[in-house]
Amino acid sequence: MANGEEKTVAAPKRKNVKHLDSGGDRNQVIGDKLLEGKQVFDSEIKSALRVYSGK
Amino acid sequence: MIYLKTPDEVRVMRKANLIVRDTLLMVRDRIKAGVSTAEVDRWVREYIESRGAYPSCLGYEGYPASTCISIDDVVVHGIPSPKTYIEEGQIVGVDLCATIDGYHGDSARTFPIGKVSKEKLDLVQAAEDAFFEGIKGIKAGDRIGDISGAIQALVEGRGYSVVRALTGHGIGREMHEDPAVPNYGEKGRGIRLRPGMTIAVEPMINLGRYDVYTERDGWTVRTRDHSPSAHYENTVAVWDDGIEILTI
Repeated sequence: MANGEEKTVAAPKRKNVKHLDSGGDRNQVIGDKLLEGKQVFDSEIKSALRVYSGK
Repeated sequence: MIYLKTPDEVRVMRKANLIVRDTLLMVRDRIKAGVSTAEVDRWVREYIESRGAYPSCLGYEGYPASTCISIDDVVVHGIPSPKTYIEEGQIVGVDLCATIDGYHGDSARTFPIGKVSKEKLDLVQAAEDAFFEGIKGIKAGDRIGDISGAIQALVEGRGYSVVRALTGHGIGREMHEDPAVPNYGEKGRGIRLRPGMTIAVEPMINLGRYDVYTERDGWTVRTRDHSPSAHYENTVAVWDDGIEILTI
């Protein structure tokens, strides 16, 4: 898990997937990059999370 | 004049920018060899309008289409045409804007078509990497030159050149606002970034030299040495705690 700040893409927090719930939402840009093995940047994750945090 | 947006205004801007994002995702999934650039333009217009927005490139200063579709050595502002067909091995820049609720969004991607040379693929990736290097660590109080210098350093470090004749720009209620955001410059120079500034950061980079020219149509910009060019763009907002990419 990463939030682009305290937990970066390079040093994410490791979690057992069975302890996670996606909530049904998916950012397609980031999701597709991950599936294609492309680099995801911390600024992308941080910006995407702002949408969900209501900022 | 630089217009600073409130958080509420940026929330409204995000709506236009997410439409732009989704439009580019749609193009990414459909664009292929054999399609004309006019058809891609039609997809874009139909999609943006289906989302209740307007393709703000259309009619802007007389521009005749909803997108700019720029193939290989065309840097930007390639005019879609029913006579221009996308071909395997090309890299195709698609730049589009949308407006809704009075605010604009602007983003561009360069798509490789089919089997593309490593040379071109690396160029396309470098344009994206340059964008993220440009905004890395940037926050209110920093200077435009911090973005520009970082972009230039990455691009030239990889052996490419940055286009100097064209720049990124402010964006909001107008598609093009102050300030200009060059893709070359010096760290610590230029205007200071302030909270609420919304800008389109858009590295345009060439495999060869940076010189470009505009064709007789008054729009199409091409590399002078006809080397391939790649373009990557997002609209971002500047805050005290960093950059928010609105087209993600």
